[in-house]
Amino acid sequence: MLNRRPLDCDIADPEKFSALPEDIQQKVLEALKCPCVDASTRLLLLRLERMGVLKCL
Amino acid sequence: MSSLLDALSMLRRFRGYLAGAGGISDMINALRWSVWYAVKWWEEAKAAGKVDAPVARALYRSLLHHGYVDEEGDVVKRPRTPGTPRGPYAQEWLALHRSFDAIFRKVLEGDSEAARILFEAMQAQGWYKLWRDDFLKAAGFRGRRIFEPRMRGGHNAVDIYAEYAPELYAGYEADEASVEALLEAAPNVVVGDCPGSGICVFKAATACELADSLAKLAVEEVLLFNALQWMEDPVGELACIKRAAPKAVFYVGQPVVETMPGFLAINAAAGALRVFSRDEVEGLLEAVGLKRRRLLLREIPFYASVWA
Repeated sequence: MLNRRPLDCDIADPEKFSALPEDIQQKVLEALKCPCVDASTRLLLLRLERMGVLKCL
Repeated sequence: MSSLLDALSMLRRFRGYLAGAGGISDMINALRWSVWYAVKWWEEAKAAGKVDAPVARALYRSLLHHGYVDEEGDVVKRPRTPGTPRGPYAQEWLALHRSFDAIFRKVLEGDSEAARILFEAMQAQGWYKLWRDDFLKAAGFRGRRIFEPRMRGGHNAVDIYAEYAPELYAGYEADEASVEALLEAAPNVVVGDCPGSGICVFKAATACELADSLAKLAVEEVLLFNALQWMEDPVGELACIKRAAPKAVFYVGQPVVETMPGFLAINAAAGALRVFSRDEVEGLLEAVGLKRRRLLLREIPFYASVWA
């Protein structure tokens, strides 16, 4: 069953985050400011969370 | 000759991709960075005594083809430092290579995590989405009942589902974390027991494991986008898919040896198991009885074709 929790994310590992391409860093930072992300960006955040780049509540 | 044919095809069929890159000269400029970085990385791999690492083998094979190294792996031609491209998507492509350059030492030391994170990020980059979307448009992709063998996070699934609203988008993931993220990211996702509509994710390591289920789904399109080199047994898996979806059209878009060596290296570092030449890709597809219906691009900036 779909479980779409509101994403409230922050950077968990600054070293991993800074290793992302600049455009993706920018995209993630913009997404962190606004929870109104599309499914594609939401997937990116969730994947980065599972890889230890972000932490999301 | 083939580069000229590819350039003409790009101008005719991939206008969005070209515009995003900043025009054909800026696209070529961006692609040159891939060669420039590849030579740099190859020399670093050699200096570190890591020429047998998967990433180094990918570099060697492509650089040998392009004439930058000889059989012994010595650099015999050195690319000039390209100019910085102006197009936004070409800049993203360069940013991908810069980021990989920053982690290359870790990759050589066997740390695959950093490359996997980068590959994840790459799938969210604008140039990657434009590459995929323009490829699908140029190929006449209808997007009705789709099967993507390896979903690798589900980025293609989410984007294509939003763009084409297909009846069905099915695929498989090998690890639980990928399934969970996709479930949480997008609506209409079902795991395992596929009702025949929406996004269906099977937990499997190969399409052969779900052949019986796949045969019931009336798949019309098989998406092999940057996919074949990630399969453990490409011919075996293609044969299973062909048997389960005998009338499906196969859309094939991917880098090959003749394409950009730096990008091949990034794929290899992130987990791609092989590097194929164009002839090898076509040989795999022919081996399972598929016939090429359209050839969109031979090698530059990537290989693209349609099979059935």
